[in-house]
Amino acid sequence: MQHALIVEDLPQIRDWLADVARAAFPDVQVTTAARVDQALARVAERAFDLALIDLGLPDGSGIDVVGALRHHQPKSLPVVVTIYDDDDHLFPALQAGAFGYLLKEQPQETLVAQLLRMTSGEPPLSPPIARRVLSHFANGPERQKSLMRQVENEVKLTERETDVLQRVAKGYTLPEIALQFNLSRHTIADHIKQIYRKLNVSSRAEAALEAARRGLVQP
Amino acid sequence: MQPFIVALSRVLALAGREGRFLALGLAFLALWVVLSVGIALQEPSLGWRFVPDPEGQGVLAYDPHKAVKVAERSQAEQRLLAIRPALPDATAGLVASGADNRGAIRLDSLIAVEAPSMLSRQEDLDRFFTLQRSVWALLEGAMNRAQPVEVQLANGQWMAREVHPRRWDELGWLYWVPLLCGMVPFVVGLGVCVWRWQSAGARFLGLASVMALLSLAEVAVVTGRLWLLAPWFAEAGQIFVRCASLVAVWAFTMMMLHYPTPLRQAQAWTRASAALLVALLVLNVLQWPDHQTLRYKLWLVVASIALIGLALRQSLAHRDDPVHRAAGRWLAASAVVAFSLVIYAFVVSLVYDVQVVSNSYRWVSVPLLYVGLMVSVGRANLFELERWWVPLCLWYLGGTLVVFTDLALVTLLRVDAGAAITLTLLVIGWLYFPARQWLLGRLQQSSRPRVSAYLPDLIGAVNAGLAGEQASRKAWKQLLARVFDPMAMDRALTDPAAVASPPVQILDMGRQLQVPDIGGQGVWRLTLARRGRQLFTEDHVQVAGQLWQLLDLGLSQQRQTQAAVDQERLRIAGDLHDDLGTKLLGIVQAGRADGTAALAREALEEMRQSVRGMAGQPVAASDVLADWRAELVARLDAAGFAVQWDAQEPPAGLILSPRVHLQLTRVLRESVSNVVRHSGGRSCRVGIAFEGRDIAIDIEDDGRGLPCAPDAGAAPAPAAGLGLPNIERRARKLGGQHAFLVSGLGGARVRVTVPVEGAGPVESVVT
Repeated sequence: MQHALIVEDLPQIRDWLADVARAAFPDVQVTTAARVDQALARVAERAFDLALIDLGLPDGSGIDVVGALRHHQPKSLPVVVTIYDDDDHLFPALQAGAFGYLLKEQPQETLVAQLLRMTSGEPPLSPPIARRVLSHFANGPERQKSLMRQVENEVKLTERETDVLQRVAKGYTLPEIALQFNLSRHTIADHIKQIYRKLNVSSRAEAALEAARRGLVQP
Repeated sequence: MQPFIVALSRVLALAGREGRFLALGLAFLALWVVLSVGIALQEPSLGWRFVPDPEGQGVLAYDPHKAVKVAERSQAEQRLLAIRPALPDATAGLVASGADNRGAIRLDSLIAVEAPSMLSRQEDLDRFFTLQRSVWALLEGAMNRAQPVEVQLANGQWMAREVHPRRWDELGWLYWVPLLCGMVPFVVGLGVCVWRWQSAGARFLGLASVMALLSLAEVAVVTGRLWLLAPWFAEAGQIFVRCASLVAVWAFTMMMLHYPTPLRQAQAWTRASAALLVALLVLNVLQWPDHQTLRYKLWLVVASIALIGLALRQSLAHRDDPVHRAAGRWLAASAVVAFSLVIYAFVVSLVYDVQVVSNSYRWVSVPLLYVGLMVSVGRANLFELERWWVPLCLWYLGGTLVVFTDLALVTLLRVDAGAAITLTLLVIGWLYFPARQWLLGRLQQSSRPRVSAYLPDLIGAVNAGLAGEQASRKAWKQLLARVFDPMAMDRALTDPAAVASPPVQILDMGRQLQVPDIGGQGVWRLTLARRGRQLFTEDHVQVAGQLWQLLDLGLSQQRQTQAAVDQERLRIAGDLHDDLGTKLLGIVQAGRADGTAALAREALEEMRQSVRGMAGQPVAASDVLADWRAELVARLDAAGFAVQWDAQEPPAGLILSPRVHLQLTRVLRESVSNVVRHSGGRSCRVGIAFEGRDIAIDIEDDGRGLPCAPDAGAAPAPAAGLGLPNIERRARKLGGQHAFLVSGLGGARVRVTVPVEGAGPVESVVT
């Protein structure tokens, strides 16, 4: 982790997030932004390995930054930092390509631990989020089958991934699931990473299709 | 001709099987009409139409254009006694009498009888045919030589009269009415056959309708003639019409045998009677035996009796099926109306002692009968009749009352015909119409559901919407069941894109009524109203439509209110997060080791929970359990506890209200916090059970127990600082119970039982 981008409008919190980033990765270089347009400008300037992005920004939603980062810098790791913990707020961010989320009020050590877990490839996954993902994949590709064919293999969950999601949705923890499948925790984490990636790909495909459809309807 | 055939073949090639059938049928109809007209126009005409003189010898001559009704004797232009060929140099006008008799034919009045079938004695019939042949030969001979004939007038004088081929305008109503009466049934039968070929009843109806055309075309020629029948046609036509009538009554009988459902051994009966029919046809063609009664009339009576018997049999067999019953009613109604026409004509002639219209008009009853049959066998909109049946009966009753009151006044009280009709109308007007009005009102009140009677239920259904869509769905279902009392009610899912344009509609010929369900994705299909005794009618559609409209309006109002409330809640939630949340966050950041940060963090979490409880939606119990598990197991696990998670499967479809969800989540969190912080134990068990309409949660550990563990019977007074009063308060808020006990594991045990508020199990949706 060499470069981290912190997008947060409150200076106090921004500094604190920078501290968290430095605590997790001691030799990281931190760039900050307070607004969406600033953040987009920074993204255009240089590559970031990690980005901590607040959702509620003065000139828009952090989701746009997540999307831009996903698009321009696929290797970077966008993480949403928010005060909202409900899936109504988090799910769109995950669809846009966020790799996880942190709740702002948690103690620094917790945040550092969670950040380290994410960067080592284990994004968090709560039961409500798992249920949303499941229903997204249950309805999404079915809805626009013909148009989705091109990306179908990429966006279809494997049987094992679906299994994992279903167990998370039922409230099992990742270590428990690893035990149930007789797999290493690392393998389960890989599955979850795939799920996140496919969620992003399929959401983008759907958004593109939606745009195309509107384009057809209203030339 | 050539282009016509080409066009016809092109149309036939284009049309489907049904189209071809239809085209062929219409072509046959046209051919037969042309044939009939051709025969009628063969007749040589004297420019008169003749009827028998009822008071004496000879025939009465009328202007053929004025033969719409049976005119009085005084209106006849002439009375003729005899006819003879004119001399070669004769001209029209009076001829000197007393000359030689030149083969004059005396005109017996029976020559002009309306139809030879009215002559019952064989010798009359023979005389009729002989006379017809000789007069025809005389007229045709004169016409071919372009000479007039001479007719003897009532005063004995002879008069020369031109003979010419019958002209179009001399065909007259007496010809056209029977022919049209034959064409209508044919078209009707053709239509029914095309539409419902698979029904045996329809096929027999088709056969009968062909026979109706064949025989009425013959009848048109016979009764519509001026006075003569072509010699080749006279007797052959008789035979032909007799055969056609036999086939027609057979077809009707067979129709009743097969319709609406085939009676027992219908096939065997069909075959046997068909063999008998063929035999009878052969006998009639051979004219053996001599007596018509044996080979013709007897069998008409037999067939009619069988027809009535079968009709009774069928109606008894299907009296419980509203569709068949309605079809039967159509049949009966059309038969009654058709036959009444004939009877009315008879009654009127009885009252006024004069035949007002020619017998030939009685054929109008035939197409009427067929139209009724078409509706019945074709099963078109039978449910409409359900609505019209009573008014129809009353209307018919009114007409019949007038006729028979009039008849009774004239025959029993010897009232003058003109006064009788006035008196009758007075009586009917003063007595019958008010009675009818009253009866109709009563019937409508009892049979037609009224929206106003169901308004309280409707308001209930709208209010049920407050408790969620499920509740209002249930209320709507109950309301529909109350209004229509259907035999069965099924819910079907529809494609939301293909929502039927009229929301309420009649399906399957009135057997079913389709009513939308709340939520827009399903419909209710109600089968047969009043527990199967009634078909659905337009009245039902109207009532259901009005109820649905009102319900939809109420619910959409409610949805709007709900949406506004939700929006407001979201706004408050957003404000709380942005303002209070951010400040609390500031405290968290600024907080040092004195525990302020932890307190602020807790406050933030509390705020979040409250907001969620406020803005939250009801959540499925199974999802809630999963969330609890994920959170608590992870937390206990992280604190190094061995976790035993004993959660029962919640009842299928159970929904928790936001309030229960929030309070129980807090109870669980606080209890688990106590376990982690204060118990000093190594393992923890969380139990969640569903007992009746309660949900019971149970948290126990193997730690040091509560500081003041309650002894049996003693009121618990747990130490402060463990948040136990909070747990107690929350349990009480939800109307539940709590207990702080000693765990079987050795430590503390917290047990909270709360009712799962009104949120009943979700009805499973048919998919």
